[in-house]
Amino acid sequence: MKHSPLFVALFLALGLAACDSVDPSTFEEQYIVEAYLIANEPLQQVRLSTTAALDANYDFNAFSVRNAQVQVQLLTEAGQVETAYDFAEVDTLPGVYVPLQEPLVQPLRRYRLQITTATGGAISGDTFVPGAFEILNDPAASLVYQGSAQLEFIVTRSSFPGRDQAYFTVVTEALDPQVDQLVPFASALYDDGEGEDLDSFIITGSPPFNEANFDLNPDNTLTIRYPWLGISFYGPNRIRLNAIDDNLYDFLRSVSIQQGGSTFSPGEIPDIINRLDGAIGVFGSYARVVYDLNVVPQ
Amino acid sequence: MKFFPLLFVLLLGVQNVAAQSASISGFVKDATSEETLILANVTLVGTTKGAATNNTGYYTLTNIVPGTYTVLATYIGYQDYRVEITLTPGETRRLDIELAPDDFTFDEVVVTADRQEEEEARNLGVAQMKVETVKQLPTILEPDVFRSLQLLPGVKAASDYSSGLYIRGGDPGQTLILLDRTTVYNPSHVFGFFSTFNPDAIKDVRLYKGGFPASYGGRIGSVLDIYNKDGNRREMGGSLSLGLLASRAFVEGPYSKGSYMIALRRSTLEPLLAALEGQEGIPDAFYFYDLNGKVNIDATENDRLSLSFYAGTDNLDIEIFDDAALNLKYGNRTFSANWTHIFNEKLFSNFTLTTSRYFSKPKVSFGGTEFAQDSRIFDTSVKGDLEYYPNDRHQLEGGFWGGVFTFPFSSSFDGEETFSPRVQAGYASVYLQDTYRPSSLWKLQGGLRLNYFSDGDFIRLEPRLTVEHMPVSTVRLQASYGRYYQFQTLITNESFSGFDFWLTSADGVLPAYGDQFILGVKTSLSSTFSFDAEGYYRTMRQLFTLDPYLPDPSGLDYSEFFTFGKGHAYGVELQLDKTRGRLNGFMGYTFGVTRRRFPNVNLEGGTPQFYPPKYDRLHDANLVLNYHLSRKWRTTGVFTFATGQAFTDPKGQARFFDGQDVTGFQEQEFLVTGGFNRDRLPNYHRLDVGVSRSGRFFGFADFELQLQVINVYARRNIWFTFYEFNESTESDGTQDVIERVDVPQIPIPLPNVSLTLTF
Repeated sequence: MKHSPLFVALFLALGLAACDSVDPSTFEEQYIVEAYLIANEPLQQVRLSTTAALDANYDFNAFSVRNAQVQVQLLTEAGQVETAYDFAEVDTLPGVYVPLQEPLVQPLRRYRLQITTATGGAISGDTFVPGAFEILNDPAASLVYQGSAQLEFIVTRSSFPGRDQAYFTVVTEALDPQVDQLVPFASALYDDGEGEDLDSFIITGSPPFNEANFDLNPDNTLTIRYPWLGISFYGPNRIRLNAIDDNLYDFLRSVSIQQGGSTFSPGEIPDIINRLDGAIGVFGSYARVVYDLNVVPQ
Repeated sequence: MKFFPLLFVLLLGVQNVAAQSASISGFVKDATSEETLILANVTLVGTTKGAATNNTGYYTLTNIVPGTYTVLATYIGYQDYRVEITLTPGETRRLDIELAPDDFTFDEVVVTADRQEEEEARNLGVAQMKVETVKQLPTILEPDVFRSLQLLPGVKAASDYSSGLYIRGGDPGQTLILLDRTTVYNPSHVFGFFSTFNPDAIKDVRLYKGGFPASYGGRIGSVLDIYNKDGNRREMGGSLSLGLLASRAFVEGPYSKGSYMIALRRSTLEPLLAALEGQEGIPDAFYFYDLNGKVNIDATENDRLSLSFYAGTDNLDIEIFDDAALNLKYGNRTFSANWTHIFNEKLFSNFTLTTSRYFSKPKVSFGGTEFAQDSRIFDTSVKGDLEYYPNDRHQLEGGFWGGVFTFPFSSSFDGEETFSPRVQAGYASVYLQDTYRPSSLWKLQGGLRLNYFSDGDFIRLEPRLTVEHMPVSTVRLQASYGRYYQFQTLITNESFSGFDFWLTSADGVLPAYGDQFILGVKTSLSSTFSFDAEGYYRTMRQLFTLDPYLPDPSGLDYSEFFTFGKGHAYGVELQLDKTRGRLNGFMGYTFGVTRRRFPNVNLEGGTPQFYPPKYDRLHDANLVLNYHLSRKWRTTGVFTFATGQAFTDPKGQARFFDGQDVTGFQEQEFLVTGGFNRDRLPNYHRLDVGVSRSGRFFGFADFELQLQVINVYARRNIWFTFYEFNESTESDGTQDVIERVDVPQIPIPLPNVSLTLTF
């Protein structure tokens, strides 16, 4: 046994383990960016903050980053700056930067976000704005909840380079939310309590989904059937169908599985997929159509 | 089939058969039931000649110089069998051997055999689990093969709630599970809580943790080979077991042409569910059952046929809340027809037709919108195995396995099909393997396995080599190398196996492969103690799995469903066994490391880094003891210790406020980690104990009453953590806070009672 391979194997394993150790994680403050561009709509505000420690009481003002230089640049196909739009911090809203001009965001163009913080931190990120699209038909303005008729849109297609299909989210906002107007499913959730307040039902969104879920018509339009799951309240609802860029797609698909719902084991928490340099967060863009629907109880 | 022996001879290049030598061969069986015994040892006393029985209980000894010998047959748990025979020149003696089971005596420990009988079972990477051990160990509600295997060095459990086998750094999908030579997919009941294999029906459980021979293939990790009982060929018998979760019935017996066996298990929760009807969270219906059966036809002395089947189903109906419901039905069906034919004392064959089916149909309805999934597997195959013994130095094995499997899978949302990659592929493999014994001190086993997979036209060659040296009679030094390919991948979530499904390699999805290197030392310290040690290193390349970040596969090419990664694992396993006496059991320790690397996970500077998966444990130790207090009373105890599981402990938080029109969240919170799975939960430990009383039950049956307690000292091991974003009302107003929630494994002492009647 003196020269047993066991001891050689044990020695090798311990040696390998020493080289293969994993250091426990630690907290490092990072910049957080939140910025969106919407096709054919004016530039939106940009939020800049830092991460908060997990055990901190969160207050955006306390973690906002002030006095940064923020600029959004429209790029040429070659990647050169065509036009630069400066932003300024709102006096009453620390960490919130608004554009000094309000040009319309051009679909199918690339934009760059450039931030320099007061301490010299450099943050940048690009987004390509999805192609605009529109509703072609005249959908029903009022429908019976879970009735025989389902809301159907016919829309043009939104294009995006490098993809065969668009990625969408759909967001529904109740315009007159009342407790007694909750649909049965939402009402059961609301009654179940567990910290849910009515506000959390007013705006509901879907995870990203692919254009292939819808029927592609011979005229290259899409027929979209809106699922009843999206409706939480009877009465007027505003439905937004958004065609999103890769940055938003990456953010949404990763943030939604941070605490389950995928093939990660419980307790395995991935970070969000981040496409920014010098910060984490999102500089994303989307194109959208909006439709108002009145939902009537059965 | 005559070309096979010829092929073997040509490939070997030697044929050293003494024309006048003799041979003996036959089956080794249990004397009370004629159940064949796998890996029993047969030797000629005073010579170096010996052999172990194969998977059908058959042995052969060739090239014996004519003369008079004592044949010794041994098997753990059975009395030695000795018989004197005289072999004449050229004689081929058929010698079927029946071994009588040990009759345990309390006062005097009977040592019936030395360690030699276990030699084959102690091959590199091999572990054998006695069914009696499975039944005796303290158990969570039901005796379970997989949970018993989780106690072996190198085999880890994901949690108290999971019977999944994580072997030497591999996930459950990397283990080939065979029941009577038939591949079984996703064999679990109660969403992974325990496995589908009914211990009443099982004859033999053998686990190849790694380094498995060329006769097995299709997975890059390990092989679990389970054989059901043939049934008692002497007399009819059976048993009835009543448990808290389920009850079991078992019948076996002879008939004019052979034997049969039927084992049924069904959950018995309906009275409890009825009593709790209307309570929140109580399902409208929940049951599971499994049925095993086997019929053997002893056609001739050299021909045996068997038909074996398995059927199992889990069904759950639950209204989660108003206008929200879940229905889940999943299960397995397998069937195999097996023909064992002995051409002569040198050529043994086995042919099997197998079919395996798996189905999983979860359906969730929320607010009038239905999510449904329909996952099925159909796997039909034919396999043949030949064993040829040209002389006493070589044992040649060869075989084929070919079939077709279809994985129809579809998911739908709101009545519209969103995903339906119907995968159908043919597969085929052939293998050739030689076990060469140049002397009694050395054994070399080399093999090649050639695989073909039609979807992608993949052809892959797997070399295997094992070398064994016995410097002294009580020590075996072993080394092994093998390459392994895998064309299928299990898509699973550790917390809930009911939605599991499989996908395969194809164009653009290369098969996974890995190399395994193993070193081992097997020692017999005395007639009752043995000590084994193995060190292993294995790679996992081209791992393909469903991209966990993929929110919707609709409209994507098949190859776009996947993410591709790699991994490695290494470790050392130690096991001390005491196989006999009033106090017996084993102690196992594993030092193990496993790592994975996949895109978008554990990024540093945008580059993915290796990370420990959740089931990585640096240290893992188990102590399993049985103590016979008397003929009627027995106690058992199991203590487990393991390094805490890897998990992600977020260190930071951030919030978005402006994206509600596109995200649907008025305030979008997210966690910021310092790395994926870089932290460790507290160490895991747990003590389970049991006591059993056996005797006669009103004169018509034997009984065994088991009382067991799991987690005796109420250790609150953590299963996983999650984080709740809450509002805290402080004196200066409402604050947004994050609270960590620890979800426990079995947190309290959990009793179990069972009564088994055997007649």
